[in-house]
This record gives sequence, C-alpha cells and structure tokens, in this order.
Amino acid sequence: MLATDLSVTYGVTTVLQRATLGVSSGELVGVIGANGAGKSTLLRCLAGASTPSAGTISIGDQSFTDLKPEARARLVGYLPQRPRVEWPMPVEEVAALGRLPHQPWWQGVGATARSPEVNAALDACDVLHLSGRRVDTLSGGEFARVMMARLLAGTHDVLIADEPISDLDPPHRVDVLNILKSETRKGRAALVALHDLALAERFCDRVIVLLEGRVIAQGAPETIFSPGVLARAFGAACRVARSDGHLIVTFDGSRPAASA
Amino acid sequence: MISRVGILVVMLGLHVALAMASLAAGPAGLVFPFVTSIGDSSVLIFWELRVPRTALAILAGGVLGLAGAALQGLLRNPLADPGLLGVSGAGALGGVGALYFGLASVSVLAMPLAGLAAASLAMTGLLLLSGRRPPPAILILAGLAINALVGALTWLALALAPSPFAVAEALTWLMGTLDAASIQDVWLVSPFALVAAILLLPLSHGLDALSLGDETATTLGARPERVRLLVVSGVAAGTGAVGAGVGALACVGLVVPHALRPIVGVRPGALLLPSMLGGAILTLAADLVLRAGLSDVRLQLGVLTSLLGAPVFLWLVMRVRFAAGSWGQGG
Repeated sequence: MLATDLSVTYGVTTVLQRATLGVSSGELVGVIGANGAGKSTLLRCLAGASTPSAGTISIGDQSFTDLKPEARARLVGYLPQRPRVEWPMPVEEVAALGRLPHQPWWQGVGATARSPEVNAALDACDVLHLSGRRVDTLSGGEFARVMMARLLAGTHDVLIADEPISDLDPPHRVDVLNILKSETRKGRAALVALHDLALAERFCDRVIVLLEGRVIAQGAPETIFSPGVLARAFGAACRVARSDGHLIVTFDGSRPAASA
Repeated sequence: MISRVGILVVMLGLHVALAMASLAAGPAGLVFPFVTSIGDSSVLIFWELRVPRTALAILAGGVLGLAGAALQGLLRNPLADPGLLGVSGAGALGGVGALYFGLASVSVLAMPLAGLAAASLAMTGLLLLSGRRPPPAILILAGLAINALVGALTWLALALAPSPFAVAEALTWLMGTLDAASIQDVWLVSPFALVAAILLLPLSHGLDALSLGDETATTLGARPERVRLLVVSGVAAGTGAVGAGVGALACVGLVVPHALRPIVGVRPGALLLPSMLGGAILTLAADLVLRAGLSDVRLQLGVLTSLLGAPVFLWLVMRVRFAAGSWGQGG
C-alpha cells in the first residue's frame, strides 16, 4: 500500500499535509507522533473511513480511493482507537462481523460465526475459549483481543490499527503486538499507531514519525529513535538509552521547566 | 440454542395457525367455506369481513415489527419505536384531517389516502430537519419534534371538530382498530408494506456493521448514510400506511424485537425477519383475544397493544438505567 501526497483539511485546519508513505506485505510499520500529530487521520484515510482532500492511495496497481467501499473492505481491515460494540453480542458473532466484506448479502452473520476463518482468528488472539460469552462481560484485555480477532477474521491484505494497545496492561500489550507480528509473517502488511516507543522499537520493522500532519522521518526504529528526532516529534527534550537491547526513552515535560 | 431456521419454522407455523383461527373465529361463529357447507351470509362474512381483517392484521403487525427492529438497529437503542419518528402519528393526523374536513364522506379511501400523504410529508420534514448525516440522537430529537407537532395538530382537529360524531369516529380510529377493515384497506396498505419489506429486509449486513459504529462500519463495506436513508424511508412508508389504514397500533414495534432478543440474539440483522413474523403473530393474537375472548367488551386493538407495551417499555427503561449502559438481553 502506497500513499502519495496525502492531505486532509477540515475547513481551514490542515490535519495532514502531503504525507507520503508506504507499507509492504510482511512488514509491521509503526506510526509515532505527539497527540494531534495526525496519526488517526492518516490511518482513517488509509482504511477508507474518511476521504483525503488531496493525494492518492494505491494498493498494487489499483487506486484504493476509486474502489467501492465493499471492495476496499475486502483489501484493508481497520481497528479504531476505541472500538465499541453497541449490542451485547456473543464473542464469536462480534468476530464474525469481520467477515462481512466477504459475504453475500443474504448470508447471515450467525452462519459465519463458526466458520474456519473466525475460529482461526479467535484462536490466534487466544479468545476461542470465550465463545458464547457476551462482549459486555469481558475484561478490558479480553475485549481488546476479541476486537483484534474481529480485525483478523477479515483476512485482509493490509491491517490498520489505531493505538490497539493504549488501554492494555503491559503483558497484554506484548500479546497484541505479537499477534500483529505473526500476521505480517503470513505476508500481510500492518500499520499501527503506537505511543509505547520501547514496544515500537521491539516489534516494528519500520517507523514513521508524524509532526503537525507532516511525515518528518521514516526508517528502521534504531535509526529513528534518536534524541534529536524524538525531541522534535514530541516537542520535548529527551534522553535515549538502551539496556539489554531494549529502548528506554525518558522525556522531560512538554514545557520548559522555567515556565511551569 | 435452537437453530435459526428452527425458530423461523416454529414462528411461521404459529403464524399460519393464528391466521387460520382468525379466519375461522368471530362473533358469527365458526365459518370456513372450504370445510363446512354454509349459507350465503356466512360466505359473505368470510370474504368481506374476516379475510380483510386477517390480512390487515398480518400486514400491520408484520410492518410494525420489522420497522421496530430496523429502527432499533439503526439508532442502536432498544427503546426506539416507529411511533417515535412521528410518522405513524402523521398517518393518523391525515386520517383525522380527512374526517374533519368532511372528505371521509366523499370516498372510503379519503382517510387512508390523507393519512399516507401526511405520513410522507412528515418523513420529508424529518429528513429535512435532521440533515444529511444525522447522528442517532439528532434523528430521535427531530422525530420527537415532528411527533409533538403532529400530536398537537391532531388534538386541535379534535377540539375544533364540527360534530361529536366526527370526534367519536376519529377517536375510535386513533386508537387503532381492525373493526372497519375492508378489502380496499388491504389493497392500500399492501404495496407500502411490500416496499417496506423490500427496503428493510436486505439491510441486515448494514445494520450489523453499524453496531461497531459508523466509522468501522464503513471499513467493513457498509454505507451508513445509505442504510440510514433506507431505514427511514422503509419505516415511513410502512408505518405511515399502517397508521393510515388501521390507525395507531402502539408498541408492537417496541415489544416484538425485545421479546425476540432472548430467542434469536441481540444482533440487529438477525432480528429483522423474526420481528416481521413476530409482529404479525402478536397482532393476530391480540385481535383474536379481542374478538373471541373479550367479545362483550368493545376494546380497540391499539388500546390492547398499548396496554401490553407500556409495562415492557417501563421495564426496559429500568433495565437500561440499572444496567449502566449495557442493553438488556432479557430472560
């Protein structure tokens, strides 16, 4: 998937400015940036949930923006920042909603809830044992993994997840990123917005840094996660250290100490 | 859990049994032209009274059940009811207006036609008022506003009515009744019921996708705006025609999907077809109770469905309130 010169403006505010980036199959790419840097807007555009004001998105040699919503949905799967389920459905039906793009209109979701794809997705996210439970009775970690299973059930070429780990405890964060990593090993492409820089370095093949709607850096995490780039991206001074090969980033506050 | 096909077969069986009972039973006693050899008057009763009455009960109940399920799915709220959008109220207002201006004495079709016209007007007003991409809350508020206006105009028409007879006739009709069901009513309601079914039944995927929110639904290939337009159009066409042909049958659209959730599940798409059958079953049963069980009491069908629906509504409100955000699955 390749996005070229992507811009999004709401009225007079420019949220995304000529962003050019790509993600290839087999690759887990992290999107890093301060709050309001345009990460969610970028991911929504790439998922087809909103239309860019300018620029092109292509998958292979076809233009993604020109495809019908149904065709887009078969290629790209999307998990929003705070996924919600409005009815207390059982776990396997929620996961089966991920199969909707592949189903003819007369076939019900109930029929696919026990299909191999849905079972495989539930199993991959370690929630197969929760089948039959209502989603509103799950813990936060279980719910997040069920929503990840919903994403995987769609067997899309490109997976897009907006901060899928921000509400999770540390072990569950690793679980979810492990799931995405193993999907990319199957040849899928994954684009994930992350705030946890240490995990971004541990799991991502490449990192894209956004600042005020612009891509200011992209490349391997080891080269990107330098004090200079991070200080610019987050507008705060920081120290970068490595211990046992793991990244440790320590930020000062976002304002200079004197003015606080 | 019983399979979905099994549930549908049982419901269809119940539906056919009640329709047979509705055709066979009534104040005139057991009449069935194919089985019993009977006199001319009984044949007349069968074709002129019972066939239209049964057909209209099926049409009205089916439309209201389906409309309720679709609307609850669209608004993602188990408290939604077709009456909420003001469209059935507008259908009733049109009928009362026809009575008030004396159009009803010109033609039998005047009341239902005026009802349909008013319902279409209300729907147009609703779409204009709520804008192109209304969030559920705005759609409900716009519906409430239309409903308030329609209610006020209906009471105004009753207050200024030229004769007490017109008031009595209008009131009977406002309460929702199948007593005056004629074959013309059936012909009038059925095309709109068909339109409602054609618009609403294929929306099961769209409504299922919407339960993950508009944005995620889009990335699952659904078109939230189109689903919204189709649901509002289907509900308006169906409930407007029922409101015009039968009057207000309150709460059928609320009670039926709710009663079915413990059996077929809470997924909005899974509720559409069962709710259509369930609405017809409930209406046929309620009408049978009125005719066979309470034949001495003159009670309107709409009053009975309201009496059934109000406690369910109260219970739902309590449940939603105490479950702190999670919708009741019942049972």
